[in-house]
Amino acid sequence: MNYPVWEIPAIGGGMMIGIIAILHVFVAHFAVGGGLYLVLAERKAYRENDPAVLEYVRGHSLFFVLVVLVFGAVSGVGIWWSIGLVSPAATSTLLHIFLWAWAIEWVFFAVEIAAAFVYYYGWDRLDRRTHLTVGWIYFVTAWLSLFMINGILTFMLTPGLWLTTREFWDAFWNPTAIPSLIIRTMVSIALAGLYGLVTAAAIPERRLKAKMVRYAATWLLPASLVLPLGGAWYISRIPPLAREISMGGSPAVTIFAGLSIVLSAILFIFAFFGPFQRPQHFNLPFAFMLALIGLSVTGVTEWVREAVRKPYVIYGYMYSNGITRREQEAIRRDGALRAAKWVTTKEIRQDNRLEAGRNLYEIQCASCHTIDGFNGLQFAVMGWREEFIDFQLQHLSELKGFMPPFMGTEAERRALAAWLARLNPQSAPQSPQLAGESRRADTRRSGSARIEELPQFVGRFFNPSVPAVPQPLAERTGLPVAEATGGAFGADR
Amino acid sequence: MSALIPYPDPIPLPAPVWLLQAFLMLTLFLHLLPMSLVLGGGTLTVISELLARRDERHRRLAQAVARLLPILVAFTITLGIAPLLFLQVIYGPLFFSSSILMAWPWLSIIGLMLLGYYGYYWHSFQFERLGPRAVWVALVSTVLFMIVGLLFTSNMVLMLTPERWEALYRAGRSALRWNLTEPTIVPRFLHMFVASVALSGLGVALLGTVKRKADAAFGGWVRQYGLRWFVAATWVQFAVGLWFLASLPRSIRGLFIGGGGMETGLLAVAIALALVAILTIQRRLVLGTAMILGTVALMVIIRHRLRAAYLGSAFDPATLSVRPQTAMFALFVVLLVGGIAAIAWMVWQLARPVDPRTE
Repeated sequence: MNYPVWEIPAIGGGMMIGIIAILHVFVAHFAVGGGLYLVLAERKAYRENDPAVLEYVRGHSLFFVLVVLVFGAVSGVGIWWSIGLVSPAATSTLLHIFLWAWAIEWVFFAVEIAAAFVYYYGWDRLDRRTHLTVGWIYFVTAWLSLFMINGILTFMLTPGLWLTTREFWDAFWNPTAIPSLIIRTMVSIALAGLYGLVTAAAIPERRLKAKMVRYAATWLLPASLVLPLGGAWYISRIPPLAREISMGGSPAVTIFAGLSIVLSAILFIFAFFGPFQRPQHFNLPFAFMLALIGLSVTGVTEWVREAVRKPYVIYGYMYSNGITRREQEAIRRDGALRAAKWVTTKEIRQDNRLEAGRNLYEIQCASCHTIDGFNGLQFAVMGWREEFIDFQLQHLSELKGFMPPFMGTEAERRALAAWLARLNPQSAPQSPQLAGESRRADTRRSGSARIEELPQFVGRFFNPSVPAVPQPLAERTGLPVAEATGGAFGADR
Repeated sequence: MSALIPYPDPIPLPAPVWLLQAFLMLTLFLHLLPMSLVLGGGTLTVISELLARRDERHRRLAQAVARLLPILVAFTITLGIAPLLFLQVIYGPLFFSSSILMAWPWLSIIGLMLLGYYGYYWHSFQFERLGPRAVWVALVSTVLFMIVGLLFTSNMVLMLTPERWEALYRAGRSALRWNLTEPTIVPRFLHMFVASVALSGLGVALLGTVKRKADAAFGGWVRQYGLRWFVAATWVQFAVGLWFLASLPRSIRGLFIGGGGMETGLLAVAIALALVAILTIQRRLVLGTAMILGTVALMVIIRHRLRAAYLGSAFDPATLSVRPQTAMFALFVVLLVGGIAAIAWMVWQLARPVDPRTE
């Protein structure tokens, strides 16, 4: 609310960051593990004195440069771009805490990029030992840059002692830093194997192909052994609410967390019985299929990691909408509109109530919700009366543990409820006559109701903060359904 | 005017402002060199490829530059990260706001860079195979990078002009806005672009000096050709620079033409260095290059003074709270020195002649 709000239609800000970040993570982990793959495969070629293997490594290094140096570097900048646009307050906070960590990461990154170029352009110009040394410099600096970013990334979910001490080292060596580092290192090695399978499958010569396919497949082995342990360790260190969300608390997050495990298992099983056992039968479509599963695992896992952090962007310090807990009391007392910079209404009057509601949506909801797209509020409040919406707003954080509480005065809350209620005109009848009309309209529509409900279903499925069925809310609050819902569900009966 | 500027972050800065600003200027200077060679080098390659049918030497020059362009882009991006990091931590309330106001165009930079970068790779690796079509690939990539430059210019100006924010924010919620109507943006961009061409001319001249060892005639021609671009572009720059100066708001312009001792003095020295470089560079290439680098460094400082003049008291970084992370800063400096040494060692290994593929 300190910054202007960028409303992204249809997909919303979180999804925007997610799309860029998942593609980047898939390439960036390969950038780390792939460096190790290059040097070890090159060394293997020298040890076995096999020029064909060396020729393969050389080809793989071109592929590596084009994927890692271009897409990896630019998409990494892209994450930075998108978080600054979607969550400027959180980005600013991270920069203030971790500026020197980022500057150090930048040094590693710069050496990494230079080493990759020297490695690639040095095949004919460096002696073997120097060439391998450059490869090692690449891998070590790439891993160190992962090491730095890992500290910053894990801090967001588990800031640990930093919340009280405000010390850099407490922030960096936070409770999940080490398990996450182990997981990411293993994933890097596994992804190096997956990418290696793609280039190995493209080798025309049979003997070499079988040899390199089997070699690349073994790179998935360490991850398959260590990941379950690392994962269990990681989960044991995350906040209890985050654990609850991923284990039943939110259906979508739970399904995705399950998918992450199931897809990983499928990937390792396929890789074992496919390229590892029968490398000679392995082909490019199979390799792409494995890579696609790998991308899916990356996608769902990173998505779950982001989702379980709700209602915070920096756990216990800043909510997803950029409001810090410290600001919360003052906002509740003096009002959100007065505290906000980028709003068109400062005081609520009868003639600007809806505009004020829209402003409140922008500063408190728009960081996760769109109006009618992904995680859309229009779907979320469909069929709800204004009073019921207001009731929901009063108990947001209790009813939905993964949402921040509404922060503002009572008048502001009512203005937001009024605006939300008008997103679906027919469900918030203003007079008995209108109610009758909207009921008739509903009956007329009933033939196509299923298709029209589909986006609502999809919206709810992907939306961790909207319950699939509203009724259990009443059970959780212990109120009779009619009272809890303000009678909203009686309207259509 | 300043009512919309967000409050500074409650967490203090991890170093004194002067130190952060010094690193901002130092890393910006380092970024500007490869950045100029990408923009200007791309332009000169396109021109040489158009002239290649008449003169084989142009084809050879274009190919030599084409080979360097992807590496220069990598340097530009890598060296661009650091100044943007320091900019965001000092001027975050301004920078994040202006970026969000032009969010879609600003985010499009990522896609434009990706396409332009792959274009230069394609152009470099497939130069022979592409034949006469190569010029189109180079042209598209160069134009994409020019748009990136124009986007940067407009955001760097927008973050300094908060009085324009409200109208832009009210104009629409789509964030498709692109602040191009500000009168200073076009001359400011052209000022950077013409400088890029001049620096690239200088780069080509240096390339010619290197090439002279293998092929005296061709190397000599490349050197002369590059110097012609440098001299011509720098003369043009005097006109463009004047236009840029004239386009600045009156009160700010005054500082650079006598009103402010520091601003006027720095500008005068920078212009004088460029003039001397033009006149002597034919005979003393290395000295002239050093003088031009001096001009670029002074321009970075002048640019910083210009920013301070724009902001006045609306946003004064000196008022931000500071809690230095001294140990982390020391670690950064040590690693930076180590990193530079590692890069230097690797480049030296690549550059020194070695009997290939032997133990």
